[in-house]
Amino acid sequence: MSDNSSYILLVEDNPDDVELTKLAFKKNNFANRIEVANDGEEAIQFLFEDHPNGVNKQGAPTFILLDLQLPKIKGHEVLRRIKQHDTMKYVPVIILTSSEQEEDIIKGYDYGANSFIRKPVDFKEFTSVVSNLGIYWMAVNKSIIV
Amino acid sequence: MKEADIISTWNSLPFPALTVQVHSNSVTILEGNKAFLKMGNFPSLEGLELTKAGLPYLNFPNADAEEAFLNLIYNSVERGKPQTTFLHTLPKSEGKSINFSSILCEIFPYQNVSGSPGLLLTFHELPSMISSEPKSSKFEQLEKTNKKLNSTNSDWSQKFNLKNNQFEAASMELNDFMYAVSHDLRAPLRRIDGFSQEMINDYADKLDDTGVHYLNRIRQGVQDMGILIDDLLKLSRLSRRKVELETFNLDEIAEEAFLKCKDLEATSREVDFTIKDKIPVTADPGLIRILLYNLFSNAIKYSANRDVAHIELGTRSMNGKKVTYLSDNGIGFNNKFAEDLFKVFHRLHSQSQFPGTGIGLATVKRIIQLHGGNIWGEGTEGEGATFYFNLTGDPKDVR
Repeated sequence: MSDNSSYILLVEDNPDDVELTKLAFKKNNFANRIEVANDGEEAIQFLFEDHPNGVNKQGAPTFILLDLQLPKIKGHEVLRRIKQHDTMKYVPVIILTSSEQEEDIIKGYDYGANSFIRKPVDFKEFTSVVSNLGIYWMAVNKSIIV
Repeated sequence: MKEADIISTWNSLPFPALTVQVHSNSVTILEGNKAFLKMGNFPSLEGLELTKAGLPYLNFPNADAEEAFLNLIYNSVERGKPQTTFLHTLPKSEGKSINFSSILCEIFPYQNVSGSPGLLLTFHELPSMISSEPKSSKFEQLEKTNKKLNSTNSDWSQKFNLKNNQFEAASMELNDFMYAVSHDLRAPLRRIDGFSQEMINDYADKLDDTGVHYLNRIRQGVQDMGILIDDLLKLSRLSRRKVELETFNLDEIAEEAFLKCKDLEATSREVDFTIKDKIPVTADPGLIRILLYNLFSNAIKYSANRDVAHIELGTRSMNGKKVTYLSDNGIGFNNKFAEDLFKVFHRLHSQSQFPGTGIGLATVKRIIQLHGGNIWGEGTEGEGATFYFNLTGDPKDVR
């Protein structure tokens, strides 16, 4: 399903959520590496500027999992910048958040999100969401390789 | 246009479209175009229903999302106006069909040849790459509406302050604050559930049965709190909703709401429901459905110990004013707690006796207040409860 160079970018500020998301991917036997940006600002650095593990070093991620409530630069703004960028706009962005506020959803799609998913409380459900996500965006969906 | 031309046009539409007929309790599919059949890999329309079971490719993330979609369908017929909704679906890759993560669905009411109301539904897969306009006009519109709403809200709250004897500290107690809190409360819950689940999965052999039991209790507590938060969210959404008045007979939608509620709450028990009077009202039918649903759900729940539960709906004249009542022969309550019943999270019974979140009657009261009316309850322990309400008043004066 993946070669050594492919990876997923997870933009998430809470270390517990990072750990659980990684765990959910591991449980589904997705071998892809997960790179983490801990806030909106780091995500921007990772994608567009100089960053030790960033796109400038290892190319673009297969897809981006983006939380909305982020310190410094909010998720919607990160999304807007990705989708305005000449090449990065082709990387699928999946919003993964606690919110199901209609404003957040509409704004997400208006800014060009490829998917909007509300994280369920139940970890079993979350694991199955991650499984669907992984299969769809890594194996099924045809993306443009950036 | 000839009929053959119309059919060919219909089938060459690039997006899935279908027409449906809405009945009081179900929705039947009349026609679906080629793109629709292709979307779901359906060989024909036979046996398809507008539900999760019938349209598996919609893959509603939860029962609420499915219900919200169906409610919108029912509302569209009543309102007679086009509606738009997003179907937030999970990516799905079972069998041959791979389906989208989100669909924009438009709903247009129309009259079919026989004069009965029908709906035209169109589905549009949201484009995966949008980059032309960072801030679409739709979003700007939304912002504008929000600003307008906010300024109107402050006008109303001035009026509200002038009249504050008439209304208890009602509409302010939750709302925006609660909305934010509800979201922030869910995040830590997810973590507790996630790590407890991992303990059970990977360390169960290092724990004895009691240890595993404790972990399961932790997870159950977390799930319960998740439900509680979601109920709170629903309640806070209610407060932000615009009241749309129509004139209709409350008793007619009561019948429908009762049956739906009985299906869910008391599958095997005998529940006898009597409507005593015609009850014409001017109110928001969607909100009244939620109100009745909550009242019925309580009446059925708290009469579980009766061989035959009796529920009665009617009107009565009190102090020269007509009020609507709903009575049951359930376990009732002590009248000294009558005021507390409507408070959020306030419950008179233990979870083991009667499970619940303590949000139902708070929701009911909120709906009554949105209409500018009043509600109160009277009970006799061991004999039953009666709720009285009126919906009089201009809802504009409430908010």
